[in-house]
Amino acid sequence: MKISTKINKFAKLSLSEVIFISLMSSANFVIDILVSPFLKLVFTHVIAGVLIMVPINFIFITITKYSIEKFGSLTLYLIIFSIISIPTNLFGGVAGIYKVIVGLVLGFLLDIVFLPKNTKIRFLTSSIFGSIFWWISVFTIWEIFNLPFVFAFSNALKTNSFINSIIPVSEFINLPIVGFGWEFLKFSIFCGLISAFTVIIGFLIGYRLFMKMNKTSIFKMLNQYLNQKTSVSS
Amino acid sequence: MNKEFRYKIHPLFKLMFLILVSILGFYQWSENNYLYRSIISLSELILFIIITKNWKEIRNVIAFLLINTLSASVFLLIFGTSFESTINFSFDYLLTTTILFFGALIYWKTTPNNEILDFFKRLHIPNAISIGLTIALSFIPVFFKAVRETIVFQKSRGFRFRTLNISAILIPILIKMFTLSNNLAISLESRGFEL
Repeated sequence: MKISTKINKFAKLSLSEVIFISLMSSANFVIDILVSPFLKLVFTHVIAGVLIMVPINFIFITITKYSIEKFGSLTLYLIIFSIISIPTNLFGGVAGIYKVIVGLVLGFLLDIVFLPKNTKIRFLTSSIFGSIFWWISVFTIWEIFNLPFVFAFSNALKTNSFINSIIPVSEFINLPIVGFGWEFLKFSIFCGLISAFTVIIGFLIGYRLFMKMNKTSIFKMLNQYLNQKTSVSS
Repeated sequence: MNKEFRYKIHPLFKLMFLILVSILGFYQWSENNYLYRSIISLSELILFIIITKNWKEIRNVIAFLLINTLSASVFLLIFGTSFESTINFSFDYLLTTTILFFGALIYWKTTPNNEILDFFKRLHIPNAISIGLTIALSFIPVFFKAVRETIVFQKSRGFRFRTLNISAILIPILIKMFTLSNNLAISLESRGFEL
């Protein structure tokens, strides 16, 4: 029997893939719940989120995506992650069932940004667009629930002369941000771009870990078994 | 089909309770709405204590909520919000998070996995999501155990744990998860389960 290594990106997820995705999302949840209270206390909500928490999540997301290349793997990953984080303050700042919708939308968008085959293009699209989509959704939640984090952070950027001397934010965004609109979108994109730098590191760590894992004999054996199964079923 | 629900309440009603609580957590009845929200959060706390009866867990949940509120307050104070409005926001935020947090925890505590799975089937939610969710919820303690074990095993092999050198911990855990997912899939498929 000839073993096909070509992966159909739009094929249905198999049972073992679904189980692997759910295990990865529970692992991500455990790491977040262990790390986030301390980080939020030390670095505050936005800074911990922009610079540390989102990159950590992207390590797991990258490993999952490289392990299961099929479209829909990240949608399922983020749906499961959002459901198990409903009673916690992870993934949005406040507990609530609204997270399922955010997870579904964000997962679908991340599946799209991970579509390019070329690793370099994928690396750029997933890091830049991934973090922009992430922060647009999180800021939208904060604005809907009247949490003043966006206002406080944008106000701080406006008044902080050190940040303004490096990046003159006030020149191209009308700070502070109040409510939704064009300025809100620009600010979300700006924060997404800042976060993209650390997300790139997260992506690289995730990719490196995947490549290390890919070299192990047990992973090769399991992957071969999976490919064999997929080719037989198709 | 299992008809004996925990506390003899249908999961749909439990979910409706969660949605109602989520709305009450944010709904503004008047300018000063602290009283009714305080009553809701206190009632939820009492209900949660009755359901769990585990003081360690209750203490951990309260500590988690306080740390989160404190971090939000510090954030606002650092970024130039006045002291008075920070105090107001912190209290408001604590009430909101308490209502939502305990509401969701009560839902998870009163609805076991099989009821959630059964309920998802009735709602025609795809099998991949329901089975994935059940596995994710069941394997959280397993993952905690796997992390602890891997750290001990690697330390016994001479590994020195450092924050930036986590690959020696993460790779064995990831491979363990990959093996586990394959074994679990084989086990389920051999029993006739299909997605």
